[in-house]
Amino acid sequence: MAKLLQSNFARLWKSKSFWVCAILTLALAVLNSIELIPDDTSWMYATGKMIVDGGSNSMIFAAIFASLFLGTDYACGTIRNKLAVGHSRANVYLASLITVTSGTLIISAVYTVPSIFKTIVWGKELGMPIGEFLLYISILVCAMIAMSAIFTLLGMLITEKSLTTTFTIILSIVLLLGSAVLMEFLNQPNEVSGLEMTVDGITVTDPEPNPMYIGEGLKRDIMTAITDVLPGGQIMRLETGDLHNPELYPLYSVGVLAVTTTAGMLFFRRKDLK
Amino acid sequence: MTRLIQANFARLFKFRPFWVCVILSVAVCLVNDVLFAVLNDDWVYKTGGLILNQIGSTALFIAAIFAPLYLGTDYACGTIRNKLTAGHSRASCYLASLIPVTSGTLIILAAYCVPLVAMSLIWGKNLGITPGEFCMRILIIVAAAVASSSLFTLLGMLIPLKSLTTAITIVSAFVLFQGSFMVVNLLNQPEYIADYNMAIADAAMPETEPNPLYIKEGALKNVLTAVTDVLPSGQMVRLQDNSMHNRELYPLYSFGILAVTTAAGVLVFRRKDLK
Repeated sequence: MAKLLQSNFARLWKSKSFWVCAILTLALAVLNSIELIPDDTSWMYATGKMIVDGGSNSMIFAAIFASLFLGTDYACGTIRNKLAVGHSRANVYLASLITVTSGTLIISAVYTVPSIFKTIVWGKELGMPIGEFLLYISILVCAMIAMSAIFTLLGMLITEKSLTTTFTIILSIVLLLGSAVLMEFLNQPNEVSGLEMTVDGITVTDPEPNPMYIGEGLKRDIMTAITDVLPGGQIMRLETGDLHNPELYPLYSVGVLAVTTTAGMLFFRRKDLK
Repeated sequence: MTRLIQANFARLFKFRPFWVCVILSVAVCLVNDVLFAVLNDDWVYKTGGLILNQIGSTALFIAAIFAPLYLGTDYACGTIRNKLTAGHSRASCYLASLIPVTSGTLIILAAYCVPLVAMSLIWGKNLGITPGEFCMRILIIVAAAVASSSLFTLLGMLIPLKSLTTAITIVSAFVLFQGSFMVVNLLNQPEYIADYNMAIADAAMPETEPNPLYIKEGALKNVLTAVTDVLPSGQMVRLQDNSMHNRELYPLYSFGILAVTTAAGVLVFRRKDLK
């Protein structure tokens, strides 16, 4: 296992796609940290919020890196060599998971560089209590680990590199955008009222039932559970600040990690590697 | 050239990811538009004309999955070298790839329309817009699809690694659509904003103040407007939020992109080392 990890990490540091993804993440973080309004003091540009908001952007780049990194093992036939020299399939799977998780966390950490720079050099406010900030960071880290487990599952079970890339990137986009759509439905108010312009000023019209509102029941519970448990949902909830039992989020992520890794290892054991 | 096109079309119709993308297009339409229309009684999609707004961005994104997988196979299996060895010119190879990719993209686009047309026939016979306007929008979407296909072909023919082509094409499509959405959003910002909450609390007319996000008339605004008008992604976003700007020129811009990317692609592909 130690040798597998050593060789995987050696390959990670030499992987061009990993460094390109890390540089692109940094470029995007710099671009996002530029304040459209000069000297903006709103919470949107507080460094704590900027760091917490990095999840979705770094997740897309992590998906690209993970799929290209894992696909190389199949494309070059290295995976068969690893088994031929006596490593177990479980060890090969776990070594890939650890490397991909490390790469994903490094890419996520890169996104925080401009925010840390702004805090230290320009003395920009964190914008939230330190306890809350640490909770959000732990949620983000756990969600990225859970996401890495999903990337590894796909990368180790799909043999063709280009298909792994397609599925991984699309899945990460679907998880993020799908969660955003679900949250939009969940956040619909029960009743809506419009604004009416009169000569006396603006008045609010009588409230009417909102057809988009999803009432309490099984449908709402399922939608809430999906956005709470899946890493894409957690990341979107962090970005919108619409958290629902945030203390449980790291536990959900550990659950996703355990389920996907167990399932992945079971399938990978029986997989025909030709 | 005819034989190359024949061979490419034969491969297209046997290509599994293409059919998966066609089915995905129908499925996304069913979930995205039809389900939405069923859930909301007075939803605007029931009028035929407005259904066109969603097609472009979604179907073109699905086409961005099919195109790199299709083009990458030529490199992965070494077919591209076989075509040149058999005596076909590099320009013919490039153009013969562009035509099936464009056709595939248009088929995916058409697949997205199938549930929408069925829905319109069942619920509303009224187009909601004039037939001329309807045809204009169709023309803009088709021209943007052709321009997007030429961009996909450029990437697919110049990057020899299939997985890298796939990653770059999908991410480029995503970035172009998200970027266009953000730029159009900025361009649509009003010059002055009003504080309605204060107005409601005071039961008075709202006071307006300058919007810090408003981009003043000048070089920056002109450049951003030109970018969103010319790029297919920008055209689709503008079509979606009804903020089109000189839309009669949109098909011309798209054909300009097709001409520029194809000319550049053929030139670079001619000198490319195919190993």
